[in-house]
Amino acid sequence: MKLRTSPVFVEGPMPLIAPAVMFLSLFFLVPLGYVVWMSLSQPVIGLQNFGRLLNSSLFASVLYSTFKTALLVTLLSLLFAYPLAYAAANGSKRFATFLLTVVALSFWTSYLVRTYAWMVILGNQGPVTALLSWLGWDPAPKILFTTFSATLAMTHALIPFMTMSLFAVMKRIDPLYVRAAENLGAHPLRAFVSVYLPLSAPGIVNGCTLVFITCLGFYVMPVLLGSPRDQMIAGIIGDQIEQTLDFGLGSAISIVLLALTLAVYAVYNRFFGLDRLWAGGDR
Amino acid sequence: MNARSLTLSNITKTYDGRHMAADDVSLDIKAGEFVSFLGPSGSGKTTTLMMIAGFQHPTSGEIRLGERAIDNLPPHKRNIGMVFQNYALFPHMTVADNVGFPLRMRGVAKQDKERRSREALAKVGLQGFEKRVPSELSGGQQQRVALARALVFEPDIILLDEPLGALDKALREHMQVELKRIHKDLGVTMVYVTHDQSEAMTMSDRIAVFNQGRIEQVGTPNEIYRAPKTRFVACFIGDSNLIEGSALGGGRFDTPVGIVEARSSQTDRNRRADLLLRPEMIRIAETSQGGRQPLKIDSTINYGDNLLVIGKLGSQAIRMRVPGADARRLEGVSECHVTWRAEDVHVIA
Amino acid sequence: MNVWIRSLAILIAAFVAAPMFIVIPMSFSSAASLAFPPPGYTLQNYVNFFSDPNWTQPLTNSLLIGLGTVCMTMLVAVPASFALVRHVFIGRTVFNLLIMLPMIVPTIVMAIGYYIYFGQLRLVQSYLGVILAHSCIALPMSTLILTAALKGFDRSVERAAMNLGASPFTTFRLITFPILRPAFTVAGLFAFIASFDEAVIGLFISGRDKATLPRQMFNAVRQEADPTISAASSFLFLLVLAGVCIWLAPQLVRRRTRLLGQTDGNGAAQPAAATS
Ligand SMILES: Nc1ncnc2c1ncn2[C@@H]1O[C@H](COP(=O)(O)OP(=O)(O)OP(=O)(O)O)[C@@H](O)[C@H]1O
Ligand SMILES: [Mg+2]
Repeated sequence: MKLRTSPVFVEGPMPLIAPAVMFLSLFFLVPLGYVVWMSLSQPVIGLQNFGRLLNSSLFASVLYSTFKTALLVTLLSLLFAYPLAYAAANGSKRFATFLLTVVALSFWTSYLVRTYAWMVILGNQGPVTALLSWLGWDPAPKILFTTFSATLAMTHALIPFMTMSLFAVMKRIDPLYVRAAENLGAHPLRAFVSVYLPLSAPGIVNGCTLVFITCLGFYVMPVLLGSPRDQMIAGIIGDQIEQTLDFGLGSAISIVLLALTLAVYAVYNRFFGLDRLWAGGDR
Repeated sequence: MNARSLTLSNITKTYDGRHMAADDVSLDIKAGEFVSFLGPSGSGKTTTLMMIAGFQHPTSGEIRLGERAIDNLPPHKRNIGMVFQNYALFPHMTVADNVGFPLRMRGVAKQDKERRSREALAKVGLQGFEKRVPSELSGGQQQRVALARALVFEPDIILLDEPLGALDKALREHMQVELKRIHKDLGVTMVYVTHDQSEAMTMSDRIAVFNQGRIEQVGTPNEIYRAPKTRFVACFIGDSNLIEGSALGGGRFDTPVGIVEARSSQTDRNRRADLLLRPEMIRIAETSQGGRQPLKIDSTINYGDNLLVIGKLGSQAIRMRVPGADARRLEGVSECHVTWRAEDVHVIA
Repeated sequence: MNVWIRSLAILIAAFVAAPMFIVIPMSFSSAASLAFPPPGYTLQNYVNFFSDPNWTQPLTNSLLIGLGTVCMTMLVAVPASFALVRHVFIGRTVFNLLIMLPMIVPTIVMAIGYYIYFGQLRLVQSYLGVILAHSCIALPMSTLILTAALKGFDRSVERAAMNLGASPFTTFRLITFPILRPAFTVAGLFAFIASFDEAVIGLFISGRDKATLPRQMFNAVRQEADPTISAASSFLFLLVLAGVCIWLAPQLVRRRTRLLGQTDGNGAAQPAAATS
């Protein structure tokens, strides 16, 4: 009798669970395990790969610049996305549809297409260079393949993410709250800061977490648009696979990246609960 | 239509191993009978219905439909019609396809299927709605489609789980009449779940009163109302005064309101019993009856056609319903004498 | 709303949308370089994109891999989401986390894992390898979509079907699946796009033979030699543009009919009222 009271594992859901468990074990957990194993065993068993990273000032600067860029991109995209999401959540239906369409357009366009677009725009034969030299900045500075171009492109790429996270929360904020605050004598700006901003905070937290994490592991844009001397962490992992073929070191760097990512998730989970992150603020 | 009897023998059901959702439920439903399950929320009505339909398995006990034990039949082989509380119409199918669905499952030929669907829709007064989808129907119309769908394949028995719960009062009363008419026309066995006591009283041949997974009493509406077997039934159905007393023998009881006579064969002296006195059985009297004190009136509520008087008879709180014609006699009065007949006092053992 | 906020929102929207549109004029450029505005116009880039095996092969590969990923993902995600929504079992939370894990682990980390693991299984440069990897990537999102839809699914219609004589399988085929079809479609579409747009894993494990379109584009951007990339970009962008417009169209039409309904009294309510 006691046994039957606890949920039954064997009968019902087993055939439903089995495919996912088998599939993910074989094609996700095992390759992930390989990364861990390689980091500890290539070329010889031990922690020497991590030792190398610890002693490398180059790796320290890569970590630093990765964090700096990720933080900057997060803040910038929040700055751009907040008014966009606010207008979409509080504007007329038509205006909201227009803004959301623009966001969707950007969201669904491949990173590579956007990367290519930025190469044209920022390239030395592109419109921005032309504009600068027309304004008398001659010779125009090199924009492409700098940290600036990578940051700009990543910000542009992640604004849609941020907007959607914010919008999901903002569209559920009852405008009555703000009106009530104004009615009680608060200046509109004051009402916004003391009422709307705190209410939209879950969206800010969600959006920033998602964007920051995405940025930490971003490969395509930093590699193609960034400065080769100022790489981000994903870029140097790629280098280990493609150029130096040092899988031990590459795996060790991957483990560091994974640990950083998991740490951010863990902090989020500690305070808010992971299941909220992907559900757009609600459960 | 082929009506069948339904027998539940000692059914128990527990979802979690501790709490009993159905506790030793036994019930005999005769072929063609209309039986209501009445009880408060969470008392196990739906659970019992689900076990009859085959969506839940009894932890123990046996269910027989006609001569056949159906415990091991999966739901789709039981040939039981069911109307769900939210109707459960298939949103992606037209009314005709919804009603035709059970016939399609039984391999009925197309023309036959269409004819029978049309007839079933006619029975519930819904001709000409075949091409609509459920979202284009009103609540009452959806309810009829659900009913037609449960009738069309001539099931051995029809189960209805609070089918009128979502309708407004006027429509509900209209549908009650319709349902009774269909029951009479078809002579099919119906089990009807409700927590509306007046609905159960007006529609049923018999009522089974549920409480905490048990059947407290089964009987005709009259039996349930006049002679409830337990305090719970007495309180749950209708308005009541329950007076505690101890037996003096010869149908006389010593109570807080004095010596009360009751219709009772019970003679054991000193046994404690609850006496049920319905508020509408109490009447205003000109003089004190058998030396009884007058009723002190605390408050009155005017329902128009009757007046509810709330007061005290000695230390006993008493509710009394006075018909509109007599209500005038209580204007500006703070107490009055009351009387009742001995055969209106029911003893709950 | 405040006119300043409106203007600001429009400016930002312009910043979000405008850069991508530059790929359209570029795709007609006659120059091999990235010069903008283009010195002359030609259709050559499109001709190349649709005829040069260096581009047609990756496009075909990506389409095939995308379809494979949809099948593989749905095969795993559908049962998993039913288990998650409809069953309580030991280790449910762990199971849920396991399914979400591919969304948590950075793709570049998985890329190195697959590179080594599939190397040993001889799955590098094979359709199957890329499909398996992409299915892992697509699984979390597809499962999220399916579980959300399943949570809102009223199970009493399934019970009704069984009660009316449908076997469990028939119930799934005639009731559950048709009602949930939109969610299945969206989940499948997500899986396809996740695969079709995935660049990092494709870059490292698809190899020369089974190169995906993103891999080919990545290399073209990096080498700055092949102007066909402009046509590829423009093609993909126009596809998204069309998709977004198609998604938008029903909303516009709906609004349009609502407006009509307002102007001629009860126009919108007419069809329903006429037959009753
Ligand atoms: N699927 C289930 N899992 C666990 N417990 C359940 C389940 N369904 C019902 N119960 C429990 O069983 C008891 C009886 O529930 P049931 O639904 O039969 O009540 P009911 O009489 O139909 O009530 P209502 O009038 O509210 O519909 C309740 O305590 C309920 O919480
Ligand atoms: Mg119920």
